[in-house]
Amino acid sequence: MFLKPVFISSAGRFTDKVLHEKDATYAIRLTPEALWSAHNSVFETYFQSPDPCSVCLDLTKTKRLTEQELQLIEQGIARVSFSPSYLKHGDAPVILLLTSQDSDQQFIDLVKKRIESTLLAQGFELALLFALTDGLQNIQQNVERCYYLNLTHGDLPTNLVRINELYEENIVMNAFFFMNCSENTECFQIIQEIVLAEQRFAARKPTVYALMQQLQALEAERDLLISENKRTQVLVQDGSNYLKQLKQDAGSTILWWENENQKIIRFYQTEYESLPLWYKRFGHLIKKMF
Amino acid sequence: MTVQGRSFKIAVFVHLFYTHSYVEFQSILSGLKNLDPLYLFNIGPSPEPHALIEQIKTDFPGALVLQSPNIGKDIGGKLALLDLYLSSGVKSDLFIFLHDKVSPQILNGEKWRNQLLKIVRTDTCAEIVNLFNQCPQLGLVGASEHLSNEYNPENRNFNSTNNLILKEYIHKFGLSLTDYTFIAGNMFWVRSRIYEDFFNKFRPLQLRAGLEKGNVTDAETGTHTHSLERIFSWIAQSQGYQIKGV
Repeated sequence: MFLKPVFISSAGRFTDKVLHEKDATYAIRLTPEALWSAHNSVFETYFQSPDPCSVCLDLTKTKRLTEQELQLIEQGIARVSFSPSYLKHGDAPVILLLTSQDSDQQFIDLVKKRIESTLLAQGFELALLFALTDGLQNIQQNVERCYYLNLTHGDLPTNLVRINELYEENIVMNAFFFMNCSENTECFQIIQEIVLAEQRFAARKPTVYALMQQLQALEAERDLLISENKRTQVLVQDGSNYLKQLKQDAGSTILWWENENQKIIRFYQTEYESLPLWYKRFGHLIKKMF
Repeated sequence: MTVQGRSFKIAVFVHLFYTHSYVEFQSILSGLKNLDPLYLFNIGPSPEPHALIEQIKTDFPGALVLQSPNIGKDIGGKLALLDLYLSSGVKSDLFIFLHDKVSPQILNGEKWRNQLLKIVRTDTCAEIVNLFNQCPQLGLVGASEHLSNEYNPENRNFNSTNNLILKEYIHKFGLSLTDYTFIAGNMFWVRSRIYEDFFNKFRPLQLRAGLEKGNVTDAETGTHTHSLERIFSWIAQSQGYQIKGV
């Protein structure tokens, strides 16, 4: 599927493990308290999950956070982003921030910035953070190719129509489609509708669809090559370090032999060459006599 | 298989940057199987990591597997694993820290690696467990060939490019040390409570954020990564525990 659905779900429902459709993923909806509370039951879900999943930090009821609480959130998100199952776009972890219409934008921006800088400090080259506003009925699009569909209040038919429109508008490539669903059945309906919308689109515009598939395959190949390139860079660096050390070691070995050589020459000079000629000849005579 | 809140005798922290080295680690770690430890793996960058992760989970049921970005070399990986351990609520008596130590930049890397990894041979494991049982003041055990000390008491400096960073860390962590011996190569056994106390105070991910990216070396200039490697041993000494080579 070109349109990648991410179902925002509470941790409890996540454990139902009812979704195994290709490309359908979860974002676990967590309050800041759930994220920072020690030994919470959620952490293991991320590390044992066979399906990709991400964090949806629910800030709808949070107006402010202390410095310590912010740090705990940063660490909690960094921790789960190390899970091999964590949802990533390329190498970049995907994080959702659920906000309300009356959220303080400055506060949300601060949280977003702090999480982003933490993930970069933990070695990620990029982090994708999406701020979604709860309570909106319509799909939203932003510059990051993200669409948000809130089905909590139920407006499924309208949104199913919108899925078709997204395919018609050719804006489904690499697009995340976040859905806040209250029922698992709605998730299934959405997946089915995406599959059908894609089939209809493929039948109507076969050339465009074929090109999209080619582009997707090429992008996947590009990602693989980027990853291989990074590994090769490491091996080249290792090789370079090895040669550097080899050169150093070889240099010090040569220096050692040069010193030995000088010692022998000095010994010869001081112990033999410096002696008077008559003394050396006398020595030769004695040598011949014996 | 859930591990949350469970108690183990031993927790094994394994950092495998070169993912191909897992095949060798399968047999290396077999020496620990009768101790029924908890395994925590951190694997390096790989375009297709899922097959390896599945293999690890099949070979070591209940193992927790991470894939963290490459910062701080094995130290960064071990800090990510420590953070996971501390947040999981798992308890254990002893930690074992291991990594693949491929060290392609070192001329005698393979010899060094084999010496370090002897601490998980079946016969050595039994010896080390006995040592910990018999000596309550024993904090840390590693390969005797790699007990190292760079401290020069005459000028109170470390004979290392890491001198300044080491002093900065000692001050930051408030370490009180009379013995500066450490295990070069950073593979060892340690009493869990020593690290639990320290890393609950100095959070592993915060320390990790200060480490260098990529495969850094300290041949020419000091690094936080190589300095923290030494601190890993000194944490035990600072709490009054002894370090021993086998």
